[in-house]
Amino acid sequence: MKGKMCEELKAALKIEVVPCEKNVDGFCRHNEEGERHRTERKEQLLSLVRNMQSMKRQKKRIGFSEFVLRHIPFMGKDLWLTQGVIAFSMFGILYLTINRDLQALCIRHIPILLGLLAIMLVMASIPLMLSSYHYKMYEIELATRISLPRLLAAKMILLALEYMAVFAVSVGLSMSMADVSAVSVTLYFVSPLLVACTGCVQIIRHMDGWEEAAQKVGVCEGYCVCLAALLILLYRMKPVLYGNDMLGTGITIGILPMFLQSVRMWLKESGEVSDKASAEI
Amino acid sequence: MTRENELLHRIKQGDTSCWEELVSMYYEDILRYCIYHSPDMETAQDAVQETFLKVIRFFPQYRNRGKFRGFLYKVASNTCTDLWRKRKNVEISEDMEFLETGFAKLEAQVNFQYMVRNLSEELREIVYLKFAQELTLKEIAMVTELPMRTVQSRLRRALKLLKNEMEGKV
Repeated sequence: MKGKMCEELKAALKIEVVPCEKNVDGFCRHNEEGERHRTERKEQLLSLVRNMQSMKRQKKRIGFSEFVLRHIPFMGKDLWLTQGVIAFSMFGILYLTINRDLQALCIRHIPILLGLLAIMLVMASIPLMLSSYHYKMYEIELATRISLPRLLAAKMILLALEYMAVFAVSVGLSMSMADVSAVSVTLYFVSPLLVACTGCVQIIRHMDGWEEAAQKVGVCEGYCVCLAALLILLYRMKPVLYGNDMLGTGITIGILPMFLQSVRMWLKESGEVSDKASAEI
Repeated sequence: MTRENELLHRIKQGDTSCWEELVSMYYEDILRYCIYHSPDMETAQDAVQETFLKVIRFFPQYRNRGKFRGFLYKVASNTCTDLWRKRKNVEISEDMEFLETGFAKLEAQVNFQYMVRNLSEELREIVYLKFAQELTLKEIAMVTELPMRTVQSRLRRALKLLKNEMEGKV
């Protein structure tokens, strides 16, 4: 009985989903218009499904290295141009200061000049690094499906390439003109660079909110100016200490892990900000 | 491997063209389910569309363990509930009633449909899922978020009530 009832229930409830209309006897008459409407709705759904898939295919993310390369014409060239102009200007001012006589440049000037160059390069980088924060471009960056950490990492890679190029030129000039070793040049350039970068990253990380982008830039620039002043003071008061390779090595070894950790935390936190911003959007 | 599993596997691999076949496979069943849970045909068809689009959107989060049908009906159930909530006081239209009964060839079938509609909501849902949609008890448990024993006992109770009513009519 139960089995029979179940079969009957199945037959009763498993209705065909073709629309129909009553005829005069109250029985169902197949409704062609309803059938056409149902088929149209089904086709409409399938068409939506096809569109969704084609949009998903278009939105496929490019690889990170390709993104970095594409970032060069977009932003990299502005970054490099700005820093190139600053480096060239520094050199130009120096050249004019010493009456176009490069021989007058003493070996003892090299450390402070390289240090100041490194700090100036960082000062030039900060506004461009924070441009996304300043103009609140993160919505657009999110819309393009490039995560903020990847965007920041791409900018840092472009900056790092630029610093390496400047460093290579500095090494070449110092070695050829002043007979300074590459190791010494590394210490004179890299130590202040790392101290400046680490300090700026910490300032950016610990200043809350996107609205204070201009403030962050100002504070970072102020920090770099103070660092430059400190270098000059150290150079004037304790030139022996300043030119101490062991001390420079110690500072570089000490600051490098701090720099790497700061950058890692910055990228991680920017990912969290990105998630929060996308949730708000 | 069943055709459904094959399609799901290919979708996971990135062959998203398989969605069309999967949607076509389940369209009638989900439409029937939505007809039983919607006040009118238009809402039922909207619910079907919404269901499939949600499934496609949330498919990356779905872990294929042979429970796709249950997942699909779960989404349909939630979609119908949401749409019904937006139209709280709407009675089922006469056309929808006729649709359900329209193809009944026997008076007994019509009686069954009215008897099922008179069951309480919790029993009616299980009867629909079991007999109209032919889901397994495990799938029904997944859709209704009930333990399987509860599903079994409610189904037994529903059948008993229907049997009593049927014998009362005879």
